[in-house]
Amino acid sequence: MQAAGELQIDIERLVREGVLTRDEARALEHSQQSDAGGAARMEALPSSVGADAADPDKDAVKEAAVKHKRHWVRVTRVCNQRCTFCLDSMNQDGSQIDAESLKAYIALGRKMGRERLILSGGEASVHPDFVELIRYGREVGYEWIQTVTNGMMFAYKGFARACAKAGLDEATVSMHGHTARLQDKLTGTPGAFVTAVKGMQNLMASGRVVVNVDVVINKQNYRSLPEIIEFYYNMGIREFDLLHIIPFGRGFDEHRHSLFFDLNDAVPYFRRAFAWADKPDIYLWTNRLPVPYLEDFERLIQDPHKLQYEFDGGRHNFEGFLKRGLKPDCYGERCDYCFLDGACRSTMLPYRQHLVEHNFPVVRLDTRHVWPGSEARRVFAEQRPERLWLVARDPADAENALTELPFDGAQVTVQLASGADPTPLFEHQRISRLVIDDVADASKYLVGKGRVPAPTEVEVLIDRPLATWLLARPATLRAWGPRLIITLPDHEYLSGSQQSDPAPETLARLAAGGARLKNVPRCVAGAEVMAHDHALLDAAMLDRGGDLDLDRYVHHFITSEYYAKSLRCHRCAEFDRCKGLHVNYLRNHGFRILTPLDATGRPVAEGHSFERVVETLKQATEASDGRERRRLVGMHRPAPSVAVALDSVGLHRNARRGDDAAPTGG
Amino acid sequence: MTRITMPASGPPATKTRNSQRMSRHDIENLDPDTNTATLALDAGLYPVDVIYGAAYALIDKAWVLLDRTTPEGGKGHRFLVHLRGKMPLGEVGLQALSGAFGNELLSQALRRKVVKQNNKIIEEIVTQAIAGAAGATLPQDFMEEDDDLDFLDDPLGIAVPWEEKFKKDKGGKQA
Repeated sequence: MQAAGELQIDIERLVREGVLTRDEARALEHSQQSDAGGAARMEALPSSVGADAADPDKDAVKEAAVKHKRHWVRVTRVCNQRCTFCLDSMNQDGSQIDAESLKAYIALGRKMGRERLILSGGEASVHPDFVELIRYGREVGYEWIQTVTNGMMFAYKGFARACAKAGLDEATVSMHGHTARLQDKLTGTPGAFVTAVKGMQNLMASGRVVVNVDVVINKQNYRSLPEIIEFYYNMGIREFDLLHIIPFGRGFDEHRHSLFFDLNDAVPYFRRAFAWADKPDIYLWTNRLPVPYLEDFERLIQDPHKLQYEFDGGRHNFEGFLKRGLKPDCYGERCDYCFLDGACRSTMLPYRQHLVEHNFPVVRLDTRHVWPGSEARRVFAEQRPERLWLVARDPADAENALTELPFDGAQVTVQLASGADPTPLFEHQRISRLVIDDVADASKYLVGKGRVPAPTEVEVLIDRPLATWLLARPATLRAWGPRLIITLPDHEYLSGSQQSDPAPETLARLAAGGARLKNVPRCVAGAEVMAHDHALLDAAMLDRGGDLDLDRYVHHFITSEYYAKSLRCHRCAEFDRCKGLHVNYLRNHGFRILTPLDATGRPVAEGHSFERVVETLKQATEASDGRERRRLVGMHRPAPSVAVALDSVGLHRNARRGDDAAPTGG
Repeated sequence: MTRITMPASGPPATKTRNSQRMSRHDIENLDPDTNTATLALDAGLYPVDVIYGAAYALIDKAWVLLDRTTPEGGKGHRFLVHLRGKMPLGEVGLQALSGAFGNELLSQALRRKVVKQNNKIIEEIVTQAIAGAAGATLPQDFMEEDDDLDFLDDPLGIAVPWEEKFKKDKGGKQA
């Protein structure tokens, strides 16, 4: 028996009865399926759920949907289609899962506080007890019951009606084409299109089932994407999830060259498709699309929490790496085509390397942290960081922590609870920086009698009130000069960024006033900036064995490492040194605030021409010889051999661009 | 439109070559010099609207002319499809164009079959779409209709797993 929250859950039984795969069971143990978005797929959102239906702010509605607690239940291991890009084929053995086992699992979800039941497969609707499962979900109290389906079974009017009467609220129908030819080809099923369209019509005719559409974007349909949306919009569909093809399942193994496409070629079609999101009654979600390709449509960048679901899907792989150093079995060629590269190969792998080599450059410890075991504490203490970031209640608390875990040789940054007087710390030789995050502390420690003495630095976690306060005191900014570090904090949710983050122009004014900016690219600051805290080990990320815990790592990545750059940044002389901006700042302010710089720090000519950069990358791919071109097509970020083509449009950048380049999106 | 005229039957011209046989249709002539290929199709195998559909699908790549001929002996007839590339194609390109036409024929034939099989549903979709646009189909109408439990017997075979329905067995027959 394993514990998940307060509940005792028989994980082994769930696996034995075929209700969960081993990975899904492990995800359940970690209770990530519903918390903070967790394993939830976020494509489906009826505007009446999770947010004020009258709220015109689509961002708020979408974020509410992300937080809606979901319970995914796979009801079959069988499908009546054979999609060329199926990601689930390895889980299908032609069997139906016993209805009683499914009911027990459905009930369990409610006990765990989950609000939305999602019935999936295989193809869920072919389960002989599908209607009964919906009815049971309603009976045990789910707020919302959804199915993810190919829609075909609903071509039977009686079935659609029975499902609606039983309590089905939403059907997310996988439609990858707007013609019979396209849909039937991609699903490998003659008649799929006409049957599913009939099914959608029946569901919509019920008047109570919200119908939305999933589209897997691939080489066969990306040029038709705007027309696909238009077709289903005209049918009455108002919500779409556009899922980018990923290098797993039979899509990569069997159909790679007929499914993967050059993203640079797709941009004009994407932009026409994304423009549908401007209609007030349309909700458009993107899924697994490389972030830089959403320039000008940044609000469509998927919520970062979606990453948790992606990692849940391959827990054995990722945990095997974090605990035993075994590289994920998908590691290698696929990484260049994988949406997870930024979180996996580019960050998770170096993190573990730092851990085992004891050389994380920065470590963070909150003195309230409860060690999960002595091994975790030992591993943490073995690190030889350049800087320790200590979060403590008061000076005495900080002193105690430094006695217990001295980290000799490391500079120390201290962040005290709001209102605590840091004065005693200034005599401590190793404490070189104090962190503050509100106007009250700024008033105390940047000016007046409580002013922090030299050479101690002050790091301000900036928000809009603090920015206003500082800009009103240019003399203070000048007086502090480089001893004042202004750090742009990362926000877990878009709403956090919207509520707190200063505008790019404000950041530039602060830099012009003399402060050093951190977590901000040089092009935004308009001045030299401090490097990010790249690779930071938070004690809270360690499990009892002293390994990085997968869920806590993913959460840390979302909140602190999920940075992105524009494709235009490949033109920038700072490319290799700059990490870009946190994805939620970009979702809020857009990629256009990033400007490629030349070696002297001046903006390069035509630096803002995203379209031209994309066209150049496309042409460079097309100009490659046959074998190389086949390799390049589908990569989620420009390969070095393609990116060098940007030199031909007046670029000034470093010659070196290797695999260690900073990620341009997760 | 530039049309090319080729003999409807008879021996190939001096520069043309007899190409390899393709499944159920012949490349009668293939002439890189004139950028043309001529295919001969058994009229009993491909309905004319399938050939029209396949020809239409290729009009962005080639000029297409259809013709019909009766072979010596007078039994049955064949369609001749003359393809002339809009860009210089060479022998390999013409063969590929002929192959693409052959694939398109199969695709059109399958689409025709699918439409026939799903004709009732298609008619319903159209009726429902038109009625819906006219405001005639109200949700309560749908929900208040008598329960139709046809789906329990799955008369259209929708719930049948793909492998069971389509996958060929080891002998190559449909399961």
